[in-house]
Amino acid sequence: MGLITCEELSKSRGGENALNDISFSINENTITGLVGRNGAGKTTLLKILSGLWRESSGKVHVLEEHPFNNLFVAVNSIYIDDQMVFSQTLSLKDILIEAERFYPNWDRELANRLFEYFQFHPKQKHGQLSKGKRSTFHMILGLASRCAVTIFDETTIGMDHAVRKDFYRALLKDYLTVPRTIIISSHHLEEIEELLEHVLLLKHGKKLFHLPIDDVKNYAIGLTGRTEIVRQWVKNKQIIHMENVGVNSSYVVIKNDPFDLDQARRLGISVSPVTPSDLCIYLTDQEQGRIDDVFK
Amino acid sequence: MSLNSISFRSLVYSQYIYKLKSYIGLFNSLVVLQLLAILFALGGSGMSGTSGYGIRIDVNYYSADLVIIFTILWAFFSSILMTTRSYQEESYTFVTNRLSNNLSNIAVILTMSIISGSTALLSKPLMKVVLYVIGDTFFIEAETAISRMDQLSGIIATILYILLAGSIGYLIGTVTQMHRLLTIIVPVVFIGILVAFDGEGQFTSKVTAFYYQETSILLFSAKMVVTIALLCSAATLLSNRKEVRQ
Repeated sequence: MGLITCEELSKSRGGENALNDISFSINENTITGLVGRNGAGKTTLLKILSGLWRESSGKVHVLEEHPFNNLFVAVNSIYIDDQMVFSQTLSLKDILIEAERFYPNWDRELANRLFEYFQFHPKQKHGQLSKGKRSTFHMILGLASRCAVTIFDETTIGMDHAVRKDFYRALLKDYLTVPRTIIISSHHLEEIEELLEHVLLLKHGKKLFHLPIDDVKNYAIGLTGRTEIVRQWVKNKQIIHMENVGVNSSYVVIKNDPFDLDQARRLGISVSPVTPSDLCIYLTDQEQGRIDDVFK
Repeated sequence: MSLNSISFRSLVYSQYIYKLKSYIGLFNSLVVLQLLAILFALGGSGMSGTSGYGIRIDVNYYSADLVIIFTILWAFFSSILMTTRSYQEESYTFVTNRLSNNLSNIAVILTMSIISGSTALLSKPLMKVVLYVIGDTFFIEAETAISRMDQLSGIIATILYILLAGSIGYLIGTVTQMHRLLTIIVPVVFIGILVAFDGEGQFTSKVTAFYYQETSILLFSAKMVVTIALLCSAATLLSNRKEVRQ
């Protein structure tokens, strides 16, 4: 059994199913990327895993316990997002001191070094920080708490590119020093794909897949060529995405299977790999209509 | 990764300390309110004058009651404030469950009551000093012979009243946080029932008799403590399944 398991987990919110029969299992000491469009249910899932919200039906286990209102799960997990609230009377340094009393594995030295590296002022107040700075500060809390289950929900919001890169690097380094189970939800899969061991893709509250990153990389192939030839060739194959490129030529993404790709190449079709990030976009695309249709 | 467990008691204590530090703003507002109340009270609550034989005597009545009333209101609204969203979210940033959160909140309200009750009672000597400095005053105590025991009873009763106000506020805050409409429904139903079924004030006078006219401090304390415990448990039970950080 994995460290985190969900069986037929559902959650309805406001009459709508935010999560719909999700089952998966996350092993100990892995980094999992949680990907999906806005409103796919990422935050709902993560809040249930961290015990903040209650599931509507199904089973959920974190560290072999039910997370809602559970102290054991609370002390061994941390949920980091951009909405964290702190008192206006506490300075950033005070918050770090307070956090240390709550998390037994807290690494003070790491916290202080990150604090200095990202040039925080000890007497600054949390409310006075810019959006990016605030995210960076939350990230420090997430890393230094060294919880067995560490959840980053869109933590990189507002961070500039350099800080995001630093964050990923810090995360990886710290993960190698102290392995733990990390879940990151992000819209920038291309940035985090090198960190990830698994990808969990959600769409409309349902699980599309939960696969090792290598399988995701080989999940599909892209074919470019003259429209009639390509469309003919992909017949009876599982098409994920299709678009016209320029005049008379098409780009089609199909699910990877042992195909006779040489035959395709002989027909003038060029075969290219599909990055996980593009794949997730294609898979979670709306079935019908594009933004252009709205303005017709 | 090694897993940790945390003792419930030490967690509540950590939360209590954390909240005392981060709710310091509430205490700042207490200082302002009590100073304001003292200022109002220095205006005197009544006066009478008489003159004759070439002497003129003005009698001014001063009372620290206003300070206590202000403090009770402060405790009520501060406790409601503690149940509001931003305060709750702050509590759930670090390790907690609903029970430990409620217990540490109640501990904070208890601390607030003891501190604010003490400072409210200390406003009396402060007022005396101010009146003395202003001058031309000869003090006559209202109750001439107050025993130590009576003084102690006064302190305990004041603190209990403040604590009661705090627990009522905490329960009301918890209930209204459960659904937005309850913010309107709760006060309307409460006042509505009082108006509709208690036209002659029988219920209110019974309640007043039960608490306010109790002469034995021991019985009074027991009644108050039981009431406060009931209010706090109700709040704890109601919020035990609440989802946080919506």
